Amino acid sequence: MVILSDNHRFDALGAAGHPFVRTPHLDRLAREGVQFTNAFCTTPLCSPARASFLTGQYAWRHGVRNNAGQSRWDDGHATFLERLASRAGYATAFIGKWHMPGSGLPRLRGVDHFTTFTVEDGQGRYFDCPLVVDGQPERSRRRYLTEELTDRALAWLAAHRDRPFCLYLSHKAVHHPWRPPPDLEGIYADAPVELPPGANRWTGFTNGEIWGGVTRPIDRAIRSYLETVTGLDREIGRLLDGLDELGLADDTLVLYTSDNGFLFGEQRHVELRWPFEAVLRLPWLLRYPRLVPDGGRRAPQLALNIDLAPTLLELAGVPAGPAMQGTSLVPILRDPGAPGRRAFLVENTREFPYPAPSYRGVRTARHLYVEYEGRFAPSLHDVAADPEQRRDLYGTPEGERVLPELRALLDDLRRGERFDG
Amino acid sequence: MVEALPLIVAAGGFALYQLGPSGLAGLALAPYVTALVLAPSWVYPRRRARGASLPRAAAGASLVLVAWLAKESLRMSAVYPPAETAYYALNPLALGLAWSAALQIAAWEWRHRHWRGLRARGPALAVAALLAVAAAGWLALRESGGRELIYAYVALHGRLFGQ
Repeated sequence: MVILSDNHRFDALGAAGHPFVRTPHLDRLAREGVQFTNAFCTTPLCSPARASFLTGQYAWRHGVRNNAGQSRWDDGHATFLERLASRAGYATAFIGKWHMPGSGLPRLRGVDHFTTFTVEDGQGRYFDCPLVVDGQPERSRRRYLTEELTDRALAWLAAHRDRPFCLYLSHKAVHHPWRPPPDLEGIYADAPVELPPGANRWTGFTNGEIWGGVTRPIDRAIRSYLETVTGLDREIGRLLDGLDELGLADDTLVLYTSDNGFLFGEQRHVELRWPFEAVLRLPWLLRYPRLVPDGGRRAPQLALNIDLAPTLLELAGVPAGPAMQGTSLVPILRDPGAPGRRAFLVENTREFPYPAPSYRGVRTARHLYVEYEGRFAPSLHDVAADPEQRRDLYGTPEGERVLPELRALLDDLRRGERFDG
Repeated sequence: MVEALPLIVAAGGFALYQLGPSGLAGLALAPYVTALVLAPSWVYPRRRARGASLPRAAAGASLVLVAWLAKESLRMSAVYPPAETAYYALNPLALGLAWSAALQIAAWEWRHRHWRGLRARGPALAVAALLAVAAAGWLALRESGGRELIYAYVALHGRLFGQ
């Protein structure tokens, strides 16, 4: 069961040390499973990231480079759902947000059940969201979308409990406009929100970032965001309880992650797209008692969105195939000391009218080096020593020492090399 | 020059917002946004009172908006080629500001034609019109109608530039 949320920051949960957001069910996943503390998306934007989860490929390979029509989803893509269905006889379901550029909804090969929505350009609505169920329009039974999708997920699990299954549950939460369930609205109204250095309440109102859709002071936006997170967490709890009641908990791998994070004032941005830690990093909570009986472990190895597909395929005994660029995380699950990858590619393709330029970069365990198109100088940060990326090392003596290796890594990544160890 | 004051206020507010301490951000943003939105109500009546024709007075009243578009174009040109940068000038926010300016000018002209003399009047009706425009704009942004407008703008960009 893969639960994919939207724009959920890596630090916006209790298990990550957030000072006040309540996420008891996600915290339970962390206690009972493995929390990957260095999980990342390879393109910090909805559609490319979602395609990367499904295909195990970087955006430059699967071709969904941004949310715009220039980069369309290709129904010819082999997703891990299709491979699980065709090679291992899994029952498969995709429930929730699709949001991939292209005309209409895809023909998802190998997916037995497809519930999604198309309103608001595929973003859906938190309340009263009309659905499309296996190609047919259908009214939502619940007002709140997160609850409706959870109901449908639980019903599908119950109906397929007696065979191997893969449920891909893709929530709209916690994408803006961040509308929590009514009973949770205002629960953080008095919570102390601390803004990042250099940010103010009105960050995001200038420099073109208003197109990202945040049209209120960011401290208020953050509170609504966190209230929506707590609402989502409650539904995660229902799913975990549902697995318990069906007797499936021990045999079911549950992964909770997000397509990307979100910048709430970091580097004076209220946006996605930029190569900064708060939007690149993901929550990544994996529970699978059959393989990882000792819950509560924290795995520091790099984990990427492109690793999901090969991981699930390896567990199902299905070869990932050469087209997939991710690396299975199964060795790390089996052995906490297993080495992780050395580096990965970070990329973005500009999308009108957003202010973020196109770029390609390399992220190692210690550094993030990015080369931009347009009138932007490259940037280099020691993200281990400077996680807030406040000091750009490009052009400094310290930066010059590490730049040759990073440039070589970037060149290799652009050519499709892998860095698995 | 009467146009100079809103321009100075807008530029000063923006500079203070970008360069000043975070604690002053709201105070800095207020004059910047106010000048951007309300400059027509300040400049237009004064230029008309000095004998400028409607087109000349309107041109003077639009200086802050034009300066803002120039700033935005400079920012966009760092990322996008010239043609797309030019298309950005037609974004819904810019069109809304232009519409607001037109409403303010129209409101003044309506009031002026019912009053004797050419005395410049206070911008009370223009402010009321502006508040109505602002409220409509806020509602449009809050409800999906605003997002649909932006989707249409972006979709047209895709058709024009093959994306």
